[in-house]
Amino acid sequence: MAAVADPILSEYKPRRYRSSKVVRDVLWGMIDILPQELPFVDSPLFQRLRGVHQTSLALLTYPCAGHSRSEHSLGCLAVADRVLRALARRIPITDKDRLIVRLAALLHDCAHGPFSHTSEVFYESNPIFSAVKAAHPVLFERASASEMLTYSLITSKPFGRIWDEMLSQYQGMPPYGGLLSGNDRWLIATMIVGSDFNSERPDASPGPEHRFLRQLINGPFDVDKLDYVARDGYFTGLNLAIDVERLLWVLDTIEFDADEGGRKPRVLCVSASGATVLEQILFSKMQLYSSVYHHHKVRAAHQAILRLFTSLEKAQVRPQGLPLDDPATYLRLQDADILHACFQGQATAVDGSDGLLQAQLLTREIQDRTLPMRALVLTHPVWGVNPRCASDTDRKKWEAKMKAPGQPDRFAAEVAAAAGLATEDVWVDIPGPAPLEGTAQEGIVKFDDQTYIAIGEMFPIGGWLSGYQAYRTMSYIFARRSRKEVGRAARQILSRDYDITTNEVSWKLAKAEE
Amino acid sequence: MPQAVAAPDWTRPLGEPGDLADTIVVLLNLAAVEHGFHKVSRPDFYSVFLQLKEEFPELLPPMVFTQTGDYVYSKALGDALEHALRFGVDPLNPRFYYLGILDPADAPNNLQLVRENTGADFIEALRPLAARFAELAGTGEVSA
Repeated sequence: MAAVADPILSEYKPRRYRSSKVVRDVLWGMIDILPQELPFVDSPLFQRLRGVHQTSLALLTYPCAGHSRSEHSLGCLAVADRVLRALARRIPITDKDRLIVRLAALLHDCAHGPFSHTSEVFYESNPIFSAVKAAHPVLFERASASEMLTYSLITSKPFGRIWDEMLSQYQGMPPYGGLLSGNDRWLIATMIVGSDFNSERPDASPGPEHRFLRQLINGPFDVDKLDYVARDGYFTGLNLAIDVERLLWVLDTIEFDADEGGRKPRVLCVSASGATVLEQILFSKMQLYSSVYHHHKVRAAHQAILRLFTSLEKAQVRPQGLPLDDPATYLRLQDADILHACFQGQATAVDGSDGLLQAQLLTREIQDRTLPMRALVLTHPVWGVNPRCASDTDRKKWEAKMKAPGQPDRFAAEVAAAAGLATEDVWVDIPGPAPLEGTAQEGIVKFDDQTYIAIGEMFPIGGWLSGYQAYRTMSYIFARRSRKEVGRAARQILSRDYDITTNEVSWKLAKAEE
Repeated sequence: MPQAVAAPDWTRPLGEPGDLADTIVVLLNLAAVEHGFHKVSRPDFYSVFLQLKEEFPELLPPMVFTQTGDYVYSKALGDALEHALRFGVDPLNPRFYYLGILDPADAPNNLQLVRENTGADFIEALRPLAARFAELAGTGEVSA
């Protein structure tokens, strides 16, 4: 993966700025971008993010949700700056620390592919990610595939060239000139993947006394969450309540009396009077998952894009001439590249391919918003005979049986055949759990006497989250046509072949009568 | 003592048969069926796994435990727990603060569901861990 940045940055020459630039953000107001940050904002790797929607195709359901990864990244920069200023009231924050955290916030998403997490689901199964993770388990344990790509980008030689030019250009410019070194881009990359130890380059590990800085970039309440919860809520129109001003007021650090190579770890926490803000973050996340990320139309669009990637790959279509089986490809594409791929002259050359026909159909369904619709909805009250006394046994059977090899595609094919449809006309979608555990288990609440308690022991938030994971999430069966027949067939097959009983609510939630 | 089998392929992503979520389900349910395990607090859940990882390194995937004062946490384990809560581990009272098996009669069924996807060898390999899990969780030996 070391060469991923070559084609992106090889021709880029950063210009020299004499001062900061300011941009206006709808959430955080004026954002000051420092001269040391501008070469990266100007670079093709960051500019590409303007064409990557933050919430993929959520805009098909929430029409204002057209915000991009670029806006989010700048928002993270703004939040990082506010948080650092707030923390500086309590502990010394050096200018160098401030610059490093700001740059990490700015660059943390620079490897997101088209349609953000949706393309990540497609390419993360590439064996290179598990191989790299196995080689450096401590470094990459917390890292997603896109974060690993970000690490590769920032530690690459072409990025290093831009970095070194930035260092030399602003060497003598106060107040930040001369503070950074060549090693600091490795430190930034380590913080982005959420590691406290870089096994590849130990001198680029955040020290224990700086653990709270790493947690600001990848931790229980990092700047990424603070921006995306606020931003996704704003642009979808959901009324989410996060009192960021209050959080800034209660944010603190705590030093533990542990010996890590003669150094004491210092971690991020909130004072006891501010624990409610962490509740707000978690409940807002749950609401975003229920209302946006796991919304049935958003999930249908997610499935459509996954199938589009598969079809394009099968038809050997190369968007912008790039192979889809190479993870580095996703660092060079925007959403539009994928939606236009199957109509390009190069693509139509692969005539007669099923994959190409499927890709064209899927693209039209996305562009015209004529996606498959719900035929059955599987969530808490649908399991068993009686919705007022839902069966946990049937719920568990569904989850476990759909984890078997070949599932849920086999089930989808069985349902399609029973309903008289083609296999590709029925989709089964089982969203993964909402990632909530970390905030509950890693968040620390500090009392005035410097004692502390985990948030999960302050109030039973772990239990609430468990309840959400077990009972609130949904699975969907989508159909291109004949929804009633598909829903009926699915329930019959679940009962007959999988020993899973569902009640009428699964049908009512799908609104297949409309 | 059943014959040990090869450790699962941990390079496969979460969500595939034999992943860490299945391991959690098997450990808690085997511990319930064979060793009278009832429940473990959430902080102890992580501490117990840290101990198990030290004692049975070859049977568990790479996990990086972060120590925060008295608490330990592993993101890999936390992610897997979120999956396990869907099909074989329950939040238990008081205050849903504990993890366990709500109805002990469910445990054999939960194990059967995993067995159908992974084969019996997967469960057999985890028997020694289940016994130790029950011991550690039951005694509170690892409590902060």
